[in-house]
Amino acid sequence: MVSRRQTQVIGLVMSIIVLVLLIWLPHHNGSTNTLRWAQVLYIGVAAMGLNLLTGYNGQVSIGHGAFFGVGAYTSALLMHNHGWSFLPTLLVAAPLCFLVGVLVGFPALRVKGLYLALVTLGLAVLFPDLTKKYVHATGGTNLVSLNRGELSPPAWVPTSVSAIGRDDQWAYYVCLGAAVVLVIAALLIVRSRFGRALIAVRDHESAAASVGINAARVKVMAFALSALYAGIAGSCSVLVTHLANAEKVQTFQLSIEFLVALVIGGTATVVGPLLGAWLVVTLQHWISDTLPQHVGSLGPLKRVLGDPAASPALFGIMLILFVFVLPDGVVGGFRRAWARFVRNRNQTPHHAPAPLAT
Amino acid sequence: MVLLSVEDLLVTFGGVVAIADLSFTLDEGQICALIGPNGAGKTTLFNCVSRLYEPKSGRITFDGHELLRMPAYRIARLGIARTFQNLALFPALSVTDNVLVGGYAQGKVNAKRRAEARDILERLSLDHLADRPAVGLPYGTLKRIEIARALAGRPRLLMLDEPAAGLTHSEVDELSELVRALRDEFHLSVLLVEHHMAMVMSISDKVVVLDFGGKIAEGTPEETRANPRVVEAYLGAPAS
Ligand SMILES: Nc1ncnc2c1ncn2[C@@H]1O[C@H](COP(=O)(O)OP(=O)(O)OP(=O)(O)O)[C@@H](O)[C@H]1O
Ligand SMILES: [Mg+2]
Repeated sequence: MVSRRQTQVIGLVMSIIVLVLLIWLPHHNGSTNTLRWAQVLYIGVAAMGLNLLTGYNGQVSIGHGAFFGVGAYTSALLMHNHGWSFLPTLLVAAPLCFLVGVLVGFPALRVKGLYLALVTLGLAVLFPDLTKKYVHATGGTNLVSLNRGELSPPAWVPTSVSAIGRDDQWAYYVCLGAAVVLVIAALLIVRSRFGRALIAVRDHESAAASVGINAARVKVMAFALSALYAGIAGSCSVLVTHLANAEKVQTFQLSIEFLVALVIGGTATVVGPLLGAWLVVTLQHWISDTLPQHVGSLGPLKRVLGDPAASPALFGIMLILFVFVLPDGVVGGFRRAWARFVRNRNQTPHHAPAPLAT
Repeated sequence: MVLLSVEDLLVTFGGVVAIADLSFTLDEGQICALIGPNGAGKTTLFNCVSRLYEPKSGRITFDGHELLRMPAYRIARLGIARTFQNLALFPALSVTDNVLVGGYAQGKVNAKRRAEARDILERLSLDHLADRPAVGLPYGTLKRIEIARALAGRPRLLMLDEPAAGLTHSEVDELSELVRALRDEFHLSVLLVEHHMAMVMSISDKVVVLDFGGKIAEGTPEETRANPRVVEAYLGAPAS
């Protein structure tokens, strides 16, 4: 018999194993791979934030690239112009993004569903213009590029992995730290009174109001929290990419990536967005780097796959296939399989299931 | 003592008058039934009390508070809880969590709150379903979960919108018993919207009859049953 308690213990043990593996990972990987894993982590963090808003609260945003950008620019500018080291910049970036989230959340109360999606899309379109207007960095453009000195970790950081650069190792562990803290925070949030209110407002707003939930406040709070997650992700990205930048296509594409990571990982699940982020980053890497190396051996397919338009198209096709196979994401699929396993185990003749109906 | 008082309430949707100059009161401890043909405005009245609909004019007072001056989420805190005609549970939450959300207005969830939620589930014979998601359970069970959720708000006024709809005969009898018993155990006043006349007549202290948004009769079950206007409204005799 597999009880709830046992399921929880299994979950805890698996999380610890995964965490240990992630801590050990840079010892195994070179710099490039370590940074790619760091990218998985920060995209996962942004997707987790989007999950609080979209998955748990039902507000769809395709503009989270903008919050990500606010975080990235805040950290990059403080480091570049004011000589801050990275960690203190989080103390500015996180509250700032939270505040921007509140400011966006209020007008968002007026619109729902597709209209909300469009309004947030506007955010992703507007943000690059704002940075172009107010940020004057490299050659007067809005690209803030950081040099090694500005990116170097604080003196107290030990070099535990000598095989890869101290900076890259620092970048990875910062992303890992942020991800761990924010996963735990998300777990606490969704199981709290506020977390139940998020779900209640999503599932039935009038019923939520009738039990005393201030839906407007919950929705604005969801926006603010999810902006905070996306902003911290943006800050972390600066350590990995060594720059902050906002082009229209890029901001939009990031927003979509968060959404894709969320959907294929599993909405309204805590680890889903991280799994989804891993899949998105891995798929993209495989399509744009690994596949072309093998195109030579593909014969007639070579011309099709060698085309530059092929990689986004392939990515799209894979997504469609994915959603067909696992409509409720990786975590949803896993849960169904697990439920079936538990049922089979529990339905031995000795353990007849308790009657469900009264 | 008058607990809920509705005065000259007027509600319109575009050109449709859903409630026309409705006045009635509900006393503390009373079970007051609100009946009337389909479209008479019963659910609309609930939605006005819940502050989900905005009346054109009129007053609703509860225990001295002017409800129409408050936002919807403040109503629960005054001690008003309700169920919905079309189930309005939170399907993704477990049965226990639905009940905990029902007590949202009580503030922080601590051990005492959880114990209360367990007691309510037990009282409504739902304890064996505590950890199940509220989706996919039988209809009658879902309706009981909604009552459990409402009770978790520790209401003084419980508003039930067609709790008997879709239930079998024996379930309706059980429900009638339950409503009366809950009124006594939880010191409730009940505003009951119901089409099931046997239930209405057996448990109500007072009946208010609506037709086309207006009150056409009010009194004890016996009085309303004998009222010719009520008979006419229900049998659909041509209006004179
Ligand atoms: N949100 C709304 N928008 C437009 N019209 C509405 C709305 N809600 C109710 N109405 C109208 O108000 C009138 C009263 O409806 P209401 O739902 O209150 O009736 P009811 O007495 O609850 O009927 P039933 O017994 O069928 O539940 C109806 O004519 C209905 O069409
Ligand atoms: Mg109705």
